[in-house]
Amino acid sequence: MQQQQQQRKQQEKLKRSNIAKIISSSFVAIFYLAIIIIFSYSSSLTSSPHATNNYAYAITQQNQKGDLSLSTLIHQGSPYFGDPSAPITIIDFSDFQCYLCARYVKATEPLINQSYIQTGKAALIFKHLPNRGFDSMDAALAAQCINDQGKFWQFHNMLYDNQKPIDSGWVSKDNLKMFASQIVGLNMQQFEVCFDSKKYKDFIESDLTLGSSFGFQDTPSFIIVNSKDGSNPEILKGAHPFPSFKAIIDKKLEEMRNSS
Amino acid sequence: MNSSSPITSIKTKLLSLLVSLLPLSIRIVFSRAPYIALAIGIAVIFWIIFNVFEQLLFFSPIWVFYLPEDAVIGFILTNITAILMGILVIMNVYVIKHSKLKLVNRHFLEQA
Repeated sequence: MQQQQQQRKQQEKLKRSNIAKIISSSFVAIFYLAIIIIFSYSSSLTSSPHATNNYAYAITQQNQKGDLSLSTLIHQGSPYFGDPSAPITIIDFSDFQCYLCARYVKATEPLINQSYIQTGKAALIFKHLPNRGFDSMDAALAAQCINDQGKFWQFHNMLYDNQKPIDSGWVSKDNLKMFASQIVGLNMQQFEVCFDSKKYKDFIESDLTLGSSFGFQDTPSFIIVNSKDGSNPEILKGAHPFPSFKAIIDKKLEEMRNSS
Repeated sequence: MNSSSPITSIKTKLLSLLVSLLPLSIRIVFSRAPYIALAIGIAVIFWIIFNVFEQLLFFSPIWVFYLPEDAVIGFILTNITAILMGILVIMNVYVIKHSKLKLVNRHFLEQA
């Protein structure tokens, strides 16, 4: 009897220790899984060609895609903001329907503008990546047509201020024309001819191709390059806060100061 | 007289039982330091996961957390969810560890 009781006790102890082992190992597994998920996600959000040892690949890709220098981008017709002779260029790939782009425009862009664009250290280039919804392409076409008349940033801010859920009709063709009509000094006839004929469809598709060649699927995504020759690209994916931009831009400015 | 009265009385009884048992169960589980530590650990892990996916927390190029105006409500909800996940998971761990019910594979096979 006593032996049986002892055996039972031993078996129960073994079972308890097994349960404890299972629980503790599952905790360790959950912890490591969480760490892997977080780091894989954060590295997908931010990838520097230097950090990922893909610099040569990035340079090859960049050469295949064309020149990312500020003068070329301006010459191609991309909307820009800031001093054309600024040493750093921030290329912003955004969609007017994306809520994270609106977050970036409201929370981060004013700080970049104040610290780097107004001081002539950086210029901002806007590239279209209209992949959030069916109406995104129309919004991009309208914005690019308005850029012809030098009112892009007014329209840009107006759309982000009035942003509604994706494909809810807030950027339907009629609403885009209504938004455009609110811009003071805009020639509506010229805009409507441009917008209705989809004049910039190929231009926006080339922006899309450029963005996807850099692996951009989510918006906003950014490339920060040296303005002179479009070299030394640093990639930021996601609505990063100002300190992320500051870290990259300050590093680039420091490198430029050291090399000159 | 009233057909719904037994059901409502059962509901109120269950509710009162839950109200009295929930604080008691929380007190039992969280009277032990390791469970408190584990609950905090789990809540922190979920907090990090939620905030990375909400794009409020970034690890590269620098570690940074920010809270823009449009994300405040979501941030409050994710905080509550992370804390509740910590409590929920650890209370389940307590139940599994202290349960007298033995789960053996054979039982599942027999049922199938």
